[in-house]
Amino acid sequence: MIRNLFRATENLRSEMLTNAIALTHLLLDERTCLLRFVQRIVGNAANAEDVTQGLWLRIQRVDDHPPIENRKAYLYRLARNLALDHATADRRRAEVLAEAAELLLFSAEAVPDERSHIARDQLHHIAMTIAGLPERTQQIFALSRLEGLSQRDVADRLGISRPTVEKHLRYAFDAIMALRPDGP
Amino acid sequence: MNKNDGGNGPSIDEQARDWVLRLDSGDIERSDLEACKAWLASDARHRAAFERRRVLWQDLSMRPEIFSSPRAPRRSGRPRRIGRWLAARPRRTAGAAIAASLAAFFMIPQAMFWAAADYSSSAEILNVKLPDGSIATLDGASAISVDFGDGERRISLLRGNAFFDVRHGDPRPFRVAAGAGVTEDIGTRFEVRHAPDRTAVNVAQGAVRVSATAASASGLRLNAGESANYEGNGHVVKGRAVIAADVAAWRTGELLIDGASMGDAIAAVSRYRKGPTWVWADLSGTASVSGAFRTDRADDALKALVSEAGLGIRWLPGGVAIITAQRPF
Repeated sequence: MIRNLFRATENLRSEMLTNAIALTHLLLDERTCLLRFVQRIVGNAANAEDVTQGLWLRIQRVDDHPPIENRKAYLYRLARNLALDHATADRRRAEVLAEAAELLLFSAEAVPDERSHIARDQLHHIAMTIAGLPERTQQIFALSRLEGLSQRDVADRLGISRPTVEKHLRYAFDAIMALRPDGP
Repeated sequence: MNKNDGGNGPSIDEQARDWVLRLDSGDIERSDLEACKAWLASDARHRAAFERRRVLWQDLSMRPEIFSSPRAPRRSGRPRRIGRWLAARPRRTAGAAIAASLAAFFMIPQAMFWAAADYSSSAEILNVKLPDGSIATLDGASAISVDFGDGERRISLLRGNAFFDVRHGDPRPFRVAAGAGVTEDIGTRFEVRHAPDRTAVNVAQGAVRVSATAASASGLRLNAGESANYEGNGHVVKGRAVIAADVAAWRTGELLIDGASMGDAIAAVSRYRKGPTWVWADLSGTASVSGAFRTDRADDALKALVSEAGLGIRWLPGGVAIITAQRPF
């Protein structure tokens, strides 16, 4: 097993296939986002790491034929399938969570969004708005957006109820949405 | 706009917001999911309101810099928020989870790079002539903003390291803000090194005054060959003596590492690499390192460090280097 992994690594340097190179780059770029996506499906960070590393190995074996039309969609689809394979205990629940995560991640065209829609000059206003929120709301918002925890995980971490977490997030979300030029 | 659907229930915008949060809850049933899809399909306005919130919500998770507000007055003198949250993260035992937080360690400094920067360098050293004739030399992967007004000549070191050769004869004080503190020139050449958790000042010639908070007027006076550092807690601590000629040795293409942790040493070398460097290994057990390297041969320096620590390295196209435990995964 270890020997095979080494061989896979060597291939990366010399004779890697076009699709595999492109997907590896994409995986590095998307790593944080992919990890969070997978974590929503499998439920915890350690399993999510396992799945993401399996994904890494899997894409090294992707052929150049046929060419992949949309590599990003392909990568997320592969991640979802590996995550569902991993979630054997409660597969139906994992399917619901995967579908919910995809609804949040993908636009109506079923393609993951490009990042960074927020204009750079808005970042400062958003940062100031967050800094002006109550401490508890800031903390919950950071656990959700910065660390990528689900509401349920935030609630467990802080020992409060999930609806309470949702209430804080709603408050923060409304405050930031109100900054947008196109209104709340 | 879509404030209300006509009735007394929640507006379309409020419903859209609540659906986004519900999808993100980690606690959703099949029936909720079907209800959400039906709501989205029933009216084009529903889909539009949902899309705007969904995209914003996703974006907010990709923008760690919104959790620090370096220019907000009420934050001065306090640790940067982002540092606090990351530090507060409980240590997880799974090696993979540690690797994830180490990777974040390299990514976040990039992301914290504010739109405010006037000058920034990538892998190479950059000399900047300031409006008063002073010279700022930026180390690799560093950034400053320049704000010269009637009362002062102010530089903010946003990221990385910079060396200042200050021109005299200008009555306005020359100040460098980094982290929570400020260094004021008293006729000199000096270096400021800004890491997320700590700022260090080394004086090559003349003297400076270092204050750990933007507000305090006093501070610690440093002469040539002296050094000091501060964190976010309002105290300046005098460091050990430095050899004046070695201050900011990176200006001449040399990188001196003296008893640094392996993580700091890798970060220092990575500054000069053209591609990103990732650490997927636990460095906590590795010994500290010392050495002299050439900044124009950063890949060789990285190889030397990694082999000394008994770690592995894999090179990917595009200059990506990934440092792993010797046994992959």
